[in-house]
Amino acid sequence: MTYHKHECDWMCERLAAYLEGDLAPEEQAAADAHLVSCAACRAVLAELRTIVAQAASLPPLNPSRDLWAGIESRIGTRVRPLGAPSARRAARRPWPLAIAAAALIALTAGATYLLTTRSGTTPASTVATVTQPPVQTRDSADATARPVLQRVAPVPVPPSGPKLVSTTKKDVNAARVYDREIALLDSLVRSRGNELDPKTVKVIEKNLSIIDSAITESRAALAKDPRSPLLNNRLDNVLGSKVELLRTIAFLPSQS
Amino acid sequence: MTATATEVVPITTIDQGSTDVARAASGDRRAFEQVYRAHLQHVYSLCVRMTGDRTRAEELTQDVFVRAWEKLSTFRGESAFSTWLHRLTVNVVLNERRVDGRDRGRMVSTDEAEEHDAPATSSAQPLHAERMDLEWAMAKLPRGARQVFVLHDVEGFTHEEIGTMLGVTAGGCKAQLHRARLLLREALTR
Repeated sequence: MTYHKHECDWMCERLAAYLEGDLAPEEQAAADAHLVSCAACRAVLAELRTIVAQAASLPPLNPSRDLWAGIESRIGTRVRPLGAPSARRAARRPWPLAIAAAALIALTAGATYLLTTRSGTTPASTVATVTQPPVQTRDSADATARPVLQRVAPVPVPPSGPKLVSTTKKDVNAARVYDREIALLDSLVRSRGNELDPKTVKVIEKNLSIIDSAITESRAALAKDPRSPLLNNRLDNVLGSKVELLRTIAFLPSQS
Repeated sequence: MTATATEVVPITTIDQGSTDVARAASGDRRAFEQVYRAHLQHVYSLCVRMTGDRTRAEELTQDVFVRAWEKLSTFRGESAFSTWLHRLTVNVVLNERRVDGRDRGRMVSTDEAEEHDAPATSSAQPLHAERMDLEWAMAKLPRGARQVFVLHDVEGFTHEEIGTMLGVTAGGCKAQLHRARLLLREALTR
């Protein structure tokens, strides 16, 4: 059956309202009647309905990489579980760990001193490199991939090494250096695993949580007023408190 | 807003999710990471489809979760957390456009050819061919039409809700939606 073009144009103008169910009853009836006998308009309508149906059932998408590291770095330093990996491993190798802890603490203390005195004019020791986890594919089973600590001992490096924490006067960034220090100490504390008394761990976690809240608040205030010396000092002090607490934890005696 | 298939999660997951949200709201970053993992796909998918740009969507997804962390204390539990986060995501995407100075308020414009964003880069996921075509065609829509289409046909918002979000009338929203559907049909049947 052949239809006049103007009838299809009429239908075309009402397709949106037809799909939305917005047509008045008499127009709805006229449109239905047209659709019954016009294959072209029926086809257009069917295609539009297919698009609507497909849109409503689109599958979720995954990013090409794990985005958590970037988020975590922007919301402040993380608090990791203290009762993690292996008490057995720690028990088997107490001395290397103690030596590494002493070296690391000496190192972080030096770096923090340089940082807080703001007097460093020569490149300070390198403290660590942190490598982001590999790109997470949609099949990756490790959904909690985190930055991996590669090195905890100082190594001689050129002052401009791209991944290194430098404390030259020019590019020192107090908060970032503190974050690195905290990450290193945090890693060390975490590696002590179940050595510590659970009650002590609980108190430590509570204190760390309070300090982290203070860090978050200080950063938020600083974001609004980045040039405030008071706020900068406050953030430095809070970060310093966290470093001190983590150092203390690193030297706490194991539970007997 | 009506529920979509991707929002259906087991009750146990919801319970755990509520606990994680509550703990995250009190400053627990580990709990917040669980919240992030639970809602990542939904947030990222919305960002991709709203922007048509996967790289930008990854940046926006991070912005959304940072913003969520900052505003989590204001979440009162009056709506589902997923709904709250969904709204936050839409706001972040729309605000990004406004802040960026690239949103020229042309929701009712009939000629937005110059506003086409870069199509989404190819997905590594083996999507069904028609759906992949639809994703591709959506990315090529003019921004205003794409946003209305995504918010209405993909995410299930009403015209009134979309009108409020975008600052347009419900009628303008319907016109944009129909235009988007026709453009998609044209692209998919070419």
